[in-house]
Amino acid sequence: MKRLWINGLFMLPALLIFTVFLIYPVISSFFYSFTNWNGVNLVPSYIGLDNYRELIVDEDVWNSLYITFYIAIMLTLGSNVLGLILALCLQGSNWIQKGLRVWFLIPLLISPLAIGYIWNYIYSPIDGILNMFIEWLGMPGQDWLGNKNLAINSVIFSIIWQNLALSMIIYVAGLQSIPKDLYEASDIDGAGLLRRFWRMTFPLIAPAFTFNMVVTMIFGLKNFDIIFIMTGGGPAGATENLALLLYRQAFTFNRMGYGSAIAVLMFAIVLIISTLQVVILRKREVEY
Amino acid sequence: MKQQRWTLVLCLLLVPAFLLTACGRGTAKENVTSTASNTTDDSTKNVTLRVFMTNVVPNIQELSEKFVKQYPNIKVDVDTTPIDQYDSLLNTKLASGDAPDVFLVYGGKKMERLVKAGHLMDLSDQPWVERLLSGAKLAASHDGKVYALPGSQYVIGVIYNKKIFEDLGLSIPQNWEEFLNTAQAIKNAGIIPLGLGMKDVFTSQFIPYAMAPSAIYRDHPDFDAQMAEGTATFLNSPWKQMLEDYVDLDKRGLFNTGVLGTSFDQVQQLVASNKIAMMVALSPTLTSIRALNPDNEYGMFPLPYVKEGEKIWVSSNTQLIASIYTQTKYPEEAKLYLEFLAQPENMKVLMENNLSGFKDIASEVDPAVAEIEPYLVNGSYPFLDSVWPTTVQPTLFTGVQNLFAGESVDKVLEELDKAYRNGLNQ
Amino acid sequence: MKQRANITVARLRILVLAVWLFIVLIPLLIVILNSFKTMSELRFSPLRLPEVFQFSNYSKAFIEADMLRAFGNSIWITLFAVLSIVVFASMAAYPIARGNPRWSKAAFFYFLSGMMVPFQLAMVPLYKVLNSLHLIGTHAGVIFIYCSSAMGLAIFLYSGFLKTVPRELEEAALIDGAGTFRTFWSIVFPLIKPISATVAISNSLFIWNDFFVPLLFLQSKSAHTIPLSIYSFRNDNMTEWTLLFAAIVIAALPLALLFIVMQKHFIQGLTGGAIKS
Repeated sequence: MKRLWINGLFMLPALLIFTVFLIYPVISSFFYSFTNWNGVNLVPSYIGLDNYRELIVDEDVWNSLYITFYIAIMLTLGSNVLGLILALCLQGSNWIQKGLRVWFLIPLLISPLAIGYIWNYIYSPIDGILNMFIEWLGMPGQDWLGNKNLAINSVIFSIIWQNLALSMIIYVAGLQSIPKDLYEASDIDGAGLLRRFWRMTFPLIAPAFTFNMVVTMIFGLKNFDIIFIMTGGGPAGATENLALLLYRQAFTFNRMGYGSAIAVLMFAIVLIISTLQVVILRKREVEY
Repeated sequence: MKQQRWTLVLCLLLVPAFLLTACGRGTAKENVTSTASNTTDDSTKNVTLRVFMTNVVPNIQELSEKFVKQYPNIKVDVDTTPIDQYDSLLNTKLASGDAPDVFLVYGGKKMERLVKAGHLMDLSDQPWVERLLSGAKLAASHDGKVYALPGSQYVIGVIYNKKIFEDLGLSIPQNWEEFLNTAQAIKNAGIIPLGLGMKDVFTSQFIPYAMAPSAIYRDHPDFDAQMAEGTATFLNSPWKQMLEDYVDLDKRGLFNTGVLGTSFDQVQQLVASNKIAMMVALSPTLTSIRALNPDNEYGMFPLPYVKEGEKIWVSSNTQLIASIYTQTKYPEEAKLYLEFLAQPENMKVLMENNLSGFKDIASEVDPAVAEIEPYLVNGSYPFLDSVWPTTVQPTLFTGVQNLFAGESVDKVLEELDKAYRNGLNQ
Repeated sequence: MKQRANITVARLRILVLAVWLFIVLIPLLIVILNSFKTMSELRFSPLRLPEVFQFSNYSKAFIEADMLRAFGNSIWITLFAVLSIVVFASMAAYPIARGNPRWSKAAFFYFLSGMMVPFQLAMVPLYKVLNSLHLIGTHAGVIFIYCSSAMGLAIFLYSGFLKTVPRELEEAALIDGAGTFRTFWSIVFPLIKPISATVAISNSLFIWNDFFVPLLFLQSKSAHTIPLSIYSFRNDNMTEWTLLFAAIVIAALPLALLFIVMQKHFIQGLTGGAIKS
């Protein structure tokens, strides 16, 4: 009994803050999703499942779903593949490699706000430095953030630019934990580089892999800040993921009720995908 | 045993208390209690007014500082935000029941919405009301009562580079065909004819707003009433032709390349460096492009979206500066603030070089604006977002973006109609 | 055969690193170079060297955006938010890691669900909650928000790590007569320093650079955090990019310096928790 009392006290502050400032608002959102609250009237009216019915047939929602998954998958793939490659090149402990690891982390220190502005500047169709470079190479300049097909990839690249080093150092830590003698052993066995990587290195960094995959996936699914600053969801919805759609519906159109329904959808997706990921990847870890 | 449990509880209580004093520390500048002062006289109690506006209101910081010098017991905390986020943020603040004391409102239906929700204070008895020109007073009123302090009158027109026109021997186009020819001549000379920076979505509305008075309202002044009744729609109206001509400009290559990815800033930069000859914009834009390059000479003419010989109507609006929140704790101080802003020497600063809305203030109008002013006599119509339900303008923004990305005109118009109907029901 | 393969690999390595270095460097260079130009110079070319290094951009940016106060606000908020996260999360994770499985599992999943929640879901109702507690525009309000949204991941990391800490030391302390509270703080907490470092560093980075929460919940200029002061340079009529870039450099400088000095701890902190969990 006393044990319970003490345990409770330990958890109390966290419990209090967490419940009041996160759980309670979230549950309120659930309730708002069943209303047509417009954010200005003080009392919303109940409309049952109408918001959800609208959700299912709303073209914008399906578009956002596609965009959300596209961004999340590309971000995860990009960060992990590139991060791993960089980590493989930089796992040593000589001072150049250490220095480069530090240097690559600098973009992480900058606010997503600033990153958005910087890349907006670089991507400008006229007078932007990227187009200057491309044209110098002899190829036609592009409208990086205005072309429907390019915009989403331009944004993804900027996000990767900022966050890549994070995946990289986690992989480096994972690589550095592999005992040197294993490398020697595989060398003696005559294993080729690629073979050695697949059979030995990769399985051994499974915990780093799990962590990176789960974190970048959740980050990719929920991403809002940089996209908001760079394109605001445009052009014409080409970069509007669920988070941005929610913002537009709730704050620009004042449809707080509908926005809450979209938020609920987002929550469900993040929950399902991260749970799946953790379960699958953890199992893989155990096997090794 | 007991002792350690008490220390535990004590610590748990201390930390939140400490955090709440952090609250005090953070707001020491803003929420000053009126009991803190040592006088009982109401007029000298220490007050902080919260003011919220878009970041394009000229010199509001300096004016607020001047106000504080005149009324030392009233501090003014001015918060500004970009246009694109203004409405959303204001609505969030209003929704929570804790809005700023003084905030900017957009006229017409947007103001009406706030009046109906009970958020705006009736200002009809304020001393500056009788100094307003009738057009300005009308723009700031709903149902005969005044709810906002108006400022100057803005005009949407074509800002053009005088030197380029001179060098190429171009004259001001008086109809649409002449306009297209003028633009083509500029293009042939290797200069970008028209600038459009749709990355900042609000720029997409200027051309339709400039087209509409001549295309629709000159001959059908009750179009808006018909739309509200449901007897007129976007789809079955001159809007179809308007949007087709709008996107046609892009198809002819008369805009800068990459309209969707170019920012408003960039376009201004290019106009200032003589790479773009014309831009359809609000009159206050002249102030910023002049600042970028004071050597350039600019003029302004109304967008001649007419057939030969027809009269051109201008798109023009009275800008509202501020309203007062009905639930403000400091109504008297807020009214003082507005009164201060309405003083001729202060209002002149707010109006910059635009047309005045006050009887007793003659503004030093920007020479380019002076060029377009005579056209107002023919006829004018307000900016359309003030006559529509609030759902239409954001739909227009996305609609124009979609249009330029290849969407069909009909689809965009259908979306606009849908948004209009949704807005009526709100 | 092997030798040649090794040389190719070495060359590839250098190529990859050089390319990425270039990609990381150029944008940063642009920011720094252009922060020293005048607005009219900016029109010409992003990469050209400024004619005269306009150091005045920096003082202008600093004063106009009231950056000294913004620094104060950011430091205050980040410090207290991170402190509360570290203290409260580790305390809550302790019974979860050590206690009765029935209750602890339930509590664990309760907090874990917080990780999945997108901020947007709580955004609007949060406004109402903060308002009723009179916390709008206050540092405390924002601190509570950051605390609650970080709680899920922090407790997840702490409980995972705590499970790997052997119980013997605590049991010894208990036998000696020390209370649970004392035991936790004097014995257990020092042992979980690596995870505390991870939690502290990752949350500090996020909170320091976050602009959305302060945008919504910190209203006045005097309560601005650093990202908001950068945001204030974005003006719809004419953004003064040169000042904006100067502001970005000023904002990043303290973090960059801190980082360079403490990089080993930074990196260890960020990765230590990830691998163990």
